[in-house]
Amino acid sequence: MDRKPRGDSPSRDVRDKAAKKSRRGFLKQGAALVTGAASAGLAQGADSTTAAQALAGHPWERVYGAGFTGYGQPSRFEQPVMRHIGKPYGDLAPGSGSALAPIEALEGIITPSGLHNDRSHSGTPDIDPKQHQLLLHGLVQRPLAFSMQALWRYPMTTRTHFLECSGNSARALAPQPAQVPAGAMHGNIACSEWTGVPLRVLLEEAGLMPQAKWILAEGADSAHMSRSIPVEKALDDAMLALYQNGERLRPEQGYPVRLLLPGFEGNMNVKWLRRLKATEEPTHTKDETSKYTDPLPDGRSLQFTFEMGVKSVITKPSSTMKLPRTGFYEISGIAWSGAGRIRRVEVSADGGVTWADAALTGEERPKALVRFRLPWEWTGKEAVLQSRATDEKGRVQPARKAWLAQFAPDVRYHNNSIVSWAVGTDGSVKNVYV
Amino acid sequence: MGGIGSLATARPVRTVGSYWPYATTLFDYVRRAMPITNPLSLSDDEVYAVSAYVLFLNGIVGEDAVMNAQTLPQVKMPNRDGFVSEWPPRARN
Repeated sequence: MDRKPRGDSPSRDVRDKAAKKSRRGFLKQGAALVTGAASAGLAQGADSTTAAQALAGHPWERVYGAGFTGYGQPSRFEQPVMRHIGKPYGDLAPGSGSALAPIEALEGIITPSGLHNDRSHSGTPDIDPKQHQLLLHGLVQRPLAFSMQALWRYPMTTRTHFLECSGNSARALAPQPAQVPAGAMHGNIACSEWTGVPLRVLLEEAGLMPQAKWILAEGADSAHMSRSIPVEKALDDAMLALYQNGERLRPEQGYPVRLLLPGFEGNMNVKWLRRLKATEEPTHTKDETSKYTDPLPDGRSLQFTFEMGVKSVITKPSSTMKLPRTGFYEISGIAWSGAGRIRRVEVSADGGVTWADAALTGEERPKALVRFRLPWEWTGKEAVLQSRATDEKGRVQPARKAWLAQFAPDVRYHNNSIVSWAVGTDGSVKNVYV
Repeated sequence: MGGIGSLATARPVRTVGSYWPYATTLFDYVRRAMPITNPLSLSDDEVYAVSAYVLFLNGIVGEDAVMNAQTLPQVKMPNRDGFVSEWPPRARN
């Protein structure tokens, strides 16, 4: 879509006062909208006939329930909530590609471990933790090898952080906007609670030599995927993650140990970590030259663009969904920044002409997802929903055209531009380019 | 293969020959990851031979070129100076 259609904007009062409104004032407005919506008939009145139906006794109330299981699973009625799998080489390389988180079906900020995005270059290795070792060598005074048993005894820390693939939202760069769920385009992002050993502790034990400026991190997958990590990040908040959301890492998330670099592109958070080699210069591996570099219009390319940019996406409603009727809906979505905390998220219902602040729910953690919500009254007219995040460094999520103008036509990485969902008069929600 | 000189055009073609800055990265990648069904199975000589062959297909070295620990680092790729390092990062939006 070239034109930004006039459509429903958030409540007129909010739009008029958006520039000056404090978040507390806006939440009050939101509460007023919720009250109004409740009286507009979202719930059915429970007269005696309806009450009798509700208490009649369904089949599941008349038989003994299922027994206990060792590892719980979602309801069979939630089976459709699965990762979106993309295998560009098909069955020739079934583990090379991505399994994207179905963000359109999730709430809160923690991605269930089984739905966490999974990007791999040679599939998931079946690693025996009793045999796996982590080697720490190169420009260090004391080269060391850690068994998993040894690593497990070091002091640990717990942090909640997002992991986003640098290629997330590359599908949204296709010439025509794809009509697939939000997760199939923007789902290479997830957020977990990670527990592990601060890398700084091990580097101090090995004793980095003064000329060590980079660390090559290498995985034990068959591709031996490797990236050069700047020593400043390794000594800052880098972690050797052993646990994810309370349990040991899943195999596709790097079991038994992965590197975690909060805020840095997913590819650098090397899974199945088997080696850390301190070097003077970067190694210029395949995945930091041939790939994961950002091409400019003049033929040059940017290398080592590590930090993920400020970004947000509305997950509900989103493309392929359909609003069943006019009335109240709560717009819901996620926002994040590799630079730190999210400061604000604005939402537009008219394709970016007017904006209002969404409410940020839950704790605002640095380099983690935050959930934003905004009550919205859909009156049946066309609308274009967008969200725009600002982080604590003052960086603002860019509009799509402004972002594209910076790069060569085949740019694929670090797409953090604003996402637009068009709502038609029939309630259908479509992916559009604005 | 191909694409040398196309990076600044409307249809850039990014290959080993046109995009990769270092020939030694080719050795590193083939050695650690190839062949896809049996990585770590090639000898160093075989990895040098595969690297030489890929460079030949891209027109970087001649058909009789011998690649080894001395000659491979000497190969200058067309896009050797085509990358701008963003570390440490400069201020940007």
